[in-house]
Amino acid sequence: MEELQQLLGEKLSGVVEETFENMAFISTEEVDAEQLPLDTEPLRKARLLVTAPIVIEIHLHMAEELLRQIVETMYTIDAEEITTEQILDVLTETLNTLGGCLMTQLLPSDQAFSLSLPELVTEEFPLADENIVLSAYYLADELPLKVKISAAATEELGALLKH
Amino acid sequence: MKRIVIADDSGTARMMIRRCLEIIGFNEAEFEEAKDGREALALMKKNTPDLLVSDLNMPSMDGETLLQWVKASPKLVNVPVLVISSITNPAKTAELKQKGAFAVIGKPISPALLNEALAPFLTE
Repeated sequence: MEELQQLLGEKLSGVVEETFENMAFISTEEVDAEQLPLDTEPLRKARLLVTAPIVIEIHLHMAEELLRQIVETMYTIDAEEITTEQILDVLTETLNTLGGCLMTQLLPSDQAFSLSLPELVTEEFPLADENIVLSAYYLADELPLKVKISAAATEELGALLKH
Repeated sequence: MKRIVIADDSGTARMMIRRCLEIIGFNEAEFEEAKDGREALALMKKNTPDLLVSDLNMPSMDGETLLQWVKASPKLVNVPVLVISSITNPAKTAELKQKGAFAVIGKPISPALLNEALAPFLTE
């Protein structure tokens, strides 16, 4: 399990950095959970399923203020013009891009994969889920974002990640 | 003036694709946007575009089905299709090109990536 977490963690950090840099020109820094600010705005949450060749669930939680900043940069609009629809669309599109990049990094180049459409969620990720393979925490412009990945830690998953 | 149809279920993705296309030289193109393959196909049947830029993972009709419809239509078969998706790797790219895609690029996109993919199209 620890080996899988390390493999995933290494790939994920690079993918998060590349995705935010390329999509929103924002740098991210991986931090420990305790370093995340506690008094920021509520987090917006979305999840995505990798449906083949193995089932993996990826959650992305981002501070609403961070999403607002990204919308402002990407759409080049003023803060008061930002809509909730744009905020949520940036969240799901970021997760979609991140999920695709991660699977491209993890799987052999001849291995096709499928993703579900990303969906918004409101519930917190379960704290003690035995299927959680990895929780990673980042700061972007001092604002928090979290990525959690869950999957059954099977031999199949291990074999794919160690290809 | 070139007519370009952009199919992606994300408004943010459509906006980014359009911006990148404008940066690489399509600033005078006429853009039409569709939220899924069905909408894109309806737009294309009404007025044949010079280029279709399509995502793969979309509700209602996905990009792969859209590509197959386009390449099966005598009216649309010659429209170049650029696929932009998060579900791309060498295996998928080869499969999509075999089905008729002009080029395939992964998200996140950049003007440089689009420029490289569309270089033959830009010289026409």
